[in-house]
Amino acid sequence: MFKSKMSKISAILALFMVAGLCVWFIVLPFVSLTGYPPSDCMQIWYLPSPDYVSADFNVSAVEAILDDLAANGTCINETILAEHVPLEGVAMNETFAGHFSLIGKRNKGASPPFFPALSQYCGYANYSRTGSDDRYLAGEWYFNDSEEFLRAEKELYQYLEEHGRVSTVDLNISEGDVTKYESKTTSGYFLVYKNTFGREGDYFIVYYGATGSGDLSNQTPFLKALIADRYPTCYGTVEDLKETENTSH
Amino acid sequence: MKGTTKPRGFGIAATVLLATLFIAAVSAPASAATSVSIDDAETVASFYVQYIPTFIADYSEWQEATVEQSTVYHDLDGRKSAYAFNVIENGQYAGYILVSATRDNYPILEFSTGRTPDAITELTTRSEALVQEHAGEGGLTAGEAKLLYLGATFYYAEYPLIDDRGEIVDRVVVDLTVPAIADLGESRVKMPMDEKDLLEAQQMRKQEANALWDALEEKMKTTSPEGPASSRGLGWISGVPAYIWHCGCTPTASGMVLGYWDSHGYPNFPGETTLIEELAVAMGTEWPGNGATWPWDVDDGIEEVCENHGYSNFDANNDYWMTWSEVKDEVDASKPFVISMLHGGTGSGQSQPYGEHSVTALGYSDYDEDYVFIHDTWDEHTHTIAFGNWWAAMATWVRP
Repeated sequence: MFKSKMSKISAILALFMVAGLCVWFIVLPFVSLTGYPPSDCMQIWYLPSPDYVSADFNVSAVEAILDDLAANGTCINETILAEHVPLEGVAMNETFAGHFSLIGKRNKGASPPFFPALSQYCGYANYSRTGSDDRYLAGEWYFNDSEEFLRAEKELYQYLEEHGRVSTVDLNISEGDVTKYESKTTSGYFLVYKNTFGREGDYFIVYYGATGSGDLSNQTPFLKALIADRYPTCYGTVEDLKETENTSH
Repeated sequence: MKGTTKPRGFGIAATVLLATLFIAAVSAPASAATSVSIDDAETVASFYVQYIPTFIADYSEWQEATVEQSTVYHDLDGRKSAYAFNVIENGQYAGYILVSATRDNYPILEFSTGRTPDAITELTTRSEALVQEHAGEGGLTAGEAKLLYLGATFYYAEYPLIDDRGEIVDRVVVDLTVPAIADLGESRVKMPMDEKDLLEAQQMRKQEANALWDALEEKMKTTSPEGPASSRGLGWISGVPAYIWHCGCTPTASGMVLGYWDSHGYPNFPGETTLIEELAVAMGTEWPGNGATWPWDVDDGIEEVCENHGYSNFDANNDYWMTWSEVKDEVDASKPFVISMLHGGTGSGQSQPYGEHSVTALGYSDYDEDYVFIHDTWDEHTHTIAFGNWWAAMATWVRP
């Protein structure tokens, strides 16, 4: 009986042992790390922003507060930490991309003004430029489904044609063309980014424009600087908006 | 609450693993020179109960636990084989830890939040009834039990059988885990190796066990008396850049570490995009491609980029066994580092688990729950993740 039991238990224990060793010493080193961002982080991916660093604050003072809370029985969990530790990054540079400044924050989950709501993953931000009263808008819609993207692209194109002038231009920032849009409320450029992360299935429609009815040609050098702030340098494609659903996407 | 999924399975596996290693070595004879006193064992147990929470989050309640002597176990030859200590947290029983009574076996044999079989009343009552019945059949009575520990889950009680003149005429052994009368005669030997190989294997295990004892004692000497995880507080490194994913999570996370050093005395590193791309090349990241990086390439890639910019003094090391005290020490030394997770959980403010992901660590919160502050490459904010909220995690320490 003892021998039989020993064999059985030994086998089970050996299995546990192998599993434990696998996780810690065998599996981990052989798992490749990609860490793709989730969809809700994509919605402001191409919106220019300052550079951020972790905040500088009085750690001892916060620690004293947390000590008091803990002493009074409060569990120091993520919620408490978020209330007392400055988790938002601190902007290193007020101006960026050729003296642009962010007005307010980048708005996550909010459809860019002047345009239809095309995706649940969308965002926009407003900008000012040093030395001028000009105001700028960057807006973005993200899609992780090709059919949804194609429908949205078609819908947007039709909307743009109904509300302004649409043309295709070469901005000399990519191998492909981009879409130029001019209207009474905003004028600028639409870019379509695909496969940014080296995998199939990521589609971004991004707009960089000036608000108001000014001459777009005067704003183009500044808008190119704004575009370049987040322009992909490694992978993926940059295209213009397509008028009709193109199955080659 | 988000971000608190704990690797419960590993806790079990760790306990079993330690115990498994003991099985084959338990029958090795112990000499007086290698025996461990119960006081020394208690010192080891006291240290280890506070060390366990640093690598198994499920045991976080043991951070400030104490131990008290419980049971002495013997082997089949009557020598002491193990000491059990009850783990006490806030005056309450919180588990047990088993320490070897000989340096010829591994120091820590088992630990658990449960109880040893001999401490479970139902099992001991049934065992005693069995023994009394067995003894009665021969007109004998059972004496006081001696507890045996023969390896993981092999808990026995040996009872002397006494005749009406008060003399011990026989012995009976009960398997406490079943319980049932055990015939230990069968258990001796029948190993699938010859005697010479068996002796060699036992000798090797003794050497391994001795080395583990030495390492543990060295660790106890160099660790603060209150234990590595008993202090509380907040650790934070300001000025760590927050880069967003470019070329892959690992070069991006590593780039943040070098970006920090760029503004802290090592200004030759290039800007964000170029730095990340150089790291991707040096680490062999699949880019252009899917941005995947093999963990073992992380440290070498960082050192290569450092050397390329004239900083041959940078030392980067992959550590596949990152402990909580190491995290705190590194942050307290103002040295951000890379954490690469296997099956990472969800960070605060994020909607999706990290999975196989690299992040930059820049702080800690050491209260009832342990958290690491990270830049996760997904946005520019700092996030928290509970320490241990992953199946496995590798640290890459980067030290100029």
